Amino acid sequence: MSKKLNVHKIAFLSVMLALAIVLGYVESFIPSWVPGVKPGLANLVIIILLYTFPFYDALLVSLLRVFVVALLRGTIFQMPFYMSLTGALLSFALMVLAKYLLKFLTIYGVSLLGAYAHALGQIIIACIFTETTAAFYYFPFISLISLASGLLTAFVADRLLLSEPIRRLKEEDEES
Amino acid sequence: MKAKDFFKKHLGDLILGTTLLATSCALLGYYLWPRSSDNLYAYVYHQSTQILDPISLAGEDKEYPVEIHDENTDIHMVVTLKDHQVAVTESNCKNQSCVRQGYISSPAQTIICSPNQIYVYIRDMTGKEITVIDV
Repeated sequence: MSKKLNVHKIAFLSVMLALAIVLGYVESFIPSWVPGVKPGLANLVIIILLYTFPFYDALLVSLLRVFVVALLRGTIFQMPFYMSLTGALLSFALMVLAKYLLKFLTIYGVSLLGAYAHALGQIIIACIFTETTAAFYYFPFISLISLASGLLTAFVADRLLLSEPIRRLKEEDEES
Repeated sequence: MKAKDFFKKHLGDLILGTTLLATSCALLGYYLWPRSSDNLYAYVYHQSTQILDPISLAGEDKEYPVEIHDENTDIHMVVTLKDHQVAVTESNCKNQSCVRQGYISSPAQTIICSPNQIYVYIRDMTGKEITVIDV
């Protein structure tokens, strides 16, 4: 029984990783003022996993997504990779803290915070790489886009988390 | 769900969302707020080195070529001052996002050419010393 449950979870995580990679890859082609800065649509997958499984499963998918997208784009260990990694880690850290500590926030607040942190993390790395604070000028524009993206992400994730297959997976994971 | 229940459930989200939105809008307002061009200067940097004398935005329309050619660098750009605004109007970089950004005229506004590592800043130099470089 336990083995069957693990198979369900692994299959679901694999599908979600594939979805995160596709979203991450596609959004990297969206034109941006600062090369490498993305609105964070792949956060949809991370939010769903964060509200379905323990946080380390979501962290694993988030990190794998960053590495695979960088490999596909040929930007591994270059500026866009570090921007993506920092954005993903900062966003994830704040979302986990918000989810477990700030109980007055729902999935919408957690997603907005994650999207904002994602934008901030990327801009910080852009400033470090360019050795100036010039890139920070773009933060208000990018953060506004990120907030819209975070709201959309939360709305879609909220609806998907109500679906029967995801609820069943969550129950199975909690039982095992 | 009733409006009252909705606000009760999402009060924290609304406060957080409003705070983040207000922060972004305040920063945006600061950057885009129109100012007199009398004391505004555009600075052009390559990496962390200033490569042109500061360009007064109060000056007459003019084009400033930027040419850096050595073993590892091949940069051709043109910074244009027009109607008290500056823009990168020509660049040999591949993505051309610096050219597409168009004219800027507010302090803290910046044009970044990431491939060529050229940055154009605008600074309000009221009461500050203007740094002129040796060419």
